[in-house]
Amino acid sequence: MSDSMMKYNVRKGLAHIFLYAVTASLLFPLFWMLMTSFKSPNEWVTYPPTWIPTEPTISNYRFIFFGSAGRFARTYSSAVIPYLNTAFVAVTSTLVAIVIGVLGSYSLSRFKTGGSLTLLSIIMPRMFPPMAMIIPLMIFFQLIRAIDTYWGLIIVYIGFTLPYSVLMLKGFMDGVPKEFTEAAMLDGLSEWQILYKIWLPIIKNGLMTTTLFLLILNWTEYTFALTLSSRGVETITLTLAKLFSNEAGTYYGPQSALGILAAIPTIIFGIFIHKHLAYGFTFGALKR
Amino acid sequence: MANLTIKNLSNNFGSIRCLDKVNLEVDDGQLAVIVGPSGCGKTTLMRCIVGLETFFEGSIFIDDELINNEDPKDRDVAMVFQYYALYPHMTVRQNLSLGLEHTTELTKDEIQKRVEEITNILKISSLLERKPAQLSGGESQRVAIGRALVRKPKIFLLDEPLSAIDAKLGRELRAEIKKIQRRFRVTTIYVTHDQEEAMAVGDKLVVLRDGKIHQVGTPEEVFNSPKDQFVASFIGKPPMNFFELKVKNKDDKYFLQNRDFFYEISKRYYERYLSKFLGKYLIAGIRPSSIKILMQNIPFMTTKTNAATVSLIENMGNENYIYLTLNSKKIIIKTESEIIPKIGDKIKFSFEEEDIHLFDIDSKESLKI
Amino acid sequence: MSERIKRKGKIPVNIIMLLPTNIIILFLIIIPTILVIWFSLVNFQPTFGINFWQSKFVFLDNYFKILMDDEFVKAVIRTVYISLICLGVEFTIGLLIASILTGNIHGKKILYPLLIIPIMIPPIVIGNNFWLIFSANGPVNQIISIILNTEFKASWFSHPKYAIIPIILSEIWHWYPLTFLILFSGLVNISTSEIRAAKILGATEWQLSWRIKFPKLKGIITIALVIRMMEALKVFDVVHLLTHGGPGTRTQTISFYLFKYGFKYSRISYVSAGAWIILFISLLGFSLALRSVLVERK
Repeated sequence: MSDSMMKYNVRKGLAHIFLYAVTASLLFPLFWMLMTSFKSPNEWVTYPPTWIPTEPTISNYRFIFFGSAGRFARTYSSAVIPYLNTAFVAVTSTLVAIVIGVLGSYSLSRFKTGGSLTLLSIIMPRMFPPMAMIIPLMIFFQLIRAIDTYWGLIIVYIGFTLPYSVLMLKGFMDGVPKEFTEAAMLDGLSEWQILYKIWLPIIKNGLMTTTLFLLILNWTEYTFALTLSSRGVETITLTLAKLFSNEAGTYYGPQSALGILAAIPTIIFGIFIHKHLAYGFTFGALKR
Repeated sequence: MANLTIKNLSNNFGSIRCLDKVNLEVDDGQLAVIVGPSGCGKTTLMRCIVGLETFFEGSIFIDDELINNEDPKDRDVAMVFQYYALYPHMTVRQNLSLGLEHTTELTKDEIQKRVEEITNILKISSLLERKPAQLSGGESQRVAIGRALVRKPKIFLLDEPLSAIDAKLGRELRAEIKKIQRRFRVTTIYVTHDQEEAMAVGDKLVVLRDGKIHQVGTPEEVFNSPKDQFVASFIGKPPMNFFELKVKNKDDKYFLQNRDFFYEISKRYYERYLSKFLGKYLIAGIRPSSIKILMQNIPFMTTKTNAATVSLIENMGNENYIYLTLNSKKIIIKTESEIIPKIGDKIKFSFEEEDIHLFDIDSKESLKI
Repeated sequence: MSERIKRKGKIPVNIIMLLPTNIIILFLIIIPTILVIWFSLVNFQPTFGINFWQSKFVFLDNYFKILMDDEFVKAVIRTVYISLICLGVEFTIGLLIASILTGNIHGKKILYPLLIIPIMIPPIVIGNNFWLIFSANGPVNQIISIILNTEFKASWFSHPKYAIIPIILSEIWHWYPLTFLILFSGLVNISTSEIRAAKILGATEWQLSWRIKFPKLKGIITIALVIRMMEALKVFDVVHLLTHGGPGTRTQTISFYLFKYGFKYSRISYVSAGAWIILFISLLGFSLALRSVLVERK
């Protein structure tokens, strides 16, 4: 083996070790939460902390699902309802935002005209502090009695994810060759049929990606839920925050279990579309 | 079965006029080829006929019926796109039946019958359940033609149908297209930039440049009597040789000459075409295939100074292109002869006076019509 | 094509299709924005029992007041410096992982999705995560104790100086995948032939990065910076969960400040003015950053 070859191999080996070490340490917080979720109460606060639970238990998960008759029963019942709430609100608003987004982005991508104002008003507000936008929304929602309701939260989520929906889908739609559209026009399809029968099947994967991306956004949302619906619709993020503040953050085991449960769906969705995450978060500024 | 009439069609692309008062008639069952260099407006013209492009003024009639304001689907036209544009998510069967479902009142069974009928004729029945990604270039093309013809359109249009296919297969396919067109006897517009393809396929050639029609005629007419210098230079391969020559008279003999060479013409020829141009310059064009190499010096055509030098020989299989230079003027000769000179040889050449095409030096229009 | 559709006298289909989007934009973006402008110019406090359309017009008074507010200015400065630290660290981590991962690494296909998991996790769960590892009896204190070889038991979240550290770290942890993803896709898209050519000409690894890769990534880096900065200016969830801006106002960010004054003290006009100031500052920054890219591209 030549000298330079050796050097190359050593460097390559070091790169591997370094990268694996970095990955491991970056995943440490997750690992810690996962381990804590299986620890029994006396292990939560022992010092030095145990890295691997000595007596693994699923009691934390049982607590999260069924609540407990113990001293926390008053403040905490079960995560099942919030879980279903989150799923319902996230799925409904995602579907609506996708339908609206599909129509809007088709119009923008297909006709090119008259959309620049729409695009601008979609992107600009992203720079505005969301807190300030929530206040007029709150006043508006009080007028139409949408505070603390499912449909109120759903509407807010639609508005919050629609920019992503429109811009991501527009990016995918811009990739549809115009010949397909023209062939479809000759075949007698109306604009609605062209969208439904030609474009949507062609951008099927993009549609899927956008849907999952919106689901992640909705699932992880906290601020809107906190300010606009916390007394009516408890989402999973609110439950975690509530559990946290009620026990001053000392209820480590259940917190971890709930954290894991709250994160699992988004991690699954995220891994599915991991190649497109950057595309979504940059509003399509980054090419796929 | 239908005929197509276009009257005074003009269209602007931004500030550029890309079609300029185009007039065209295509008879029932005819195959008209619109040919011209890229950017000449041929695709725009076709898109205007189909209805994918709006135009600025003029009118288009199919069967004497004005279709200017009809939607593409109501015009009874069908088109094969340059890269076929077969819907990638549908099978061949679905690709073929989609148009029928949306433009006709036929029942499902009738549609399937029509689809199977046409796929039998086109010999693509075995491909019916495949997706476009599983088809070869030639198969895709046949499917695209099938998709257009299954609707029995009045006008059938093809946009550069061979550009996505390699040259050898292209030659086979253009014969195929012609055969299919004959079989269906459908009025067809075929767009191409390739004059060779146009000559091989068309009943009628429409030579277009800068949005203007330069000549309409059968391939023979266009080749043998081009209306102007552009048509003469564009049609035929290798392109025609042009010389600026002065008509001269000396002792009852008539010449075409410039400082490079002179060429004696008969009195009959002079009187027929050139009597008005005595003492004036005009453009003479000679096809490379009309020029003969003279190994010995025959005084029919003689160069005033030197003989031309052979600068390059291209072997094209059963024929050779010989490039000559004559005082920096380049001349191309196409010959099927076995006897060819070598590079650097000095040779003399000649041609028949009937083979000379004459063009006005200003208007570039033919003087022989 | 749109002309053809219009000619028929019906509402053009492109308008119909864009309508739902525009309705949402109108009600959830444009009207609220107009309201925020109005709020910022009047003296509106719902607790006064006066409707916002009847509130007293005070013009730029709120703007002056909030700019004089030491707490606001400090929150802005704090947010900016948190963002800058986050950006710096995230870019370093992102670039490091991305450039190693573009090489020939075993297990690349598994490492890649693993490395970007944090961006998929709800911020509130991330807050909980960092609460656990930074708790007094948590692993961070344990590791520091081992390194320092003395007992180290800081209570991070109530410490006036340290409390900001878990917040910054959680932000970094949440968002480093984004810079990594962006830089990775940028690096992958640099043509290998160019790099090979440079290597043949004897370019060192350093020259390769600095002379060839970096200039090509400039545009993409700026986009990443702007988008990441947009998010960074909104830091709220973790602060709300972990410290509530405390101890005192030591970890108060812009978003938390606006939340506190808007929702707890109902000082809506005040908060609205603050929001516009922040939008103005960020627009200024972003347009400068983006212009540098656009000029570069010409």
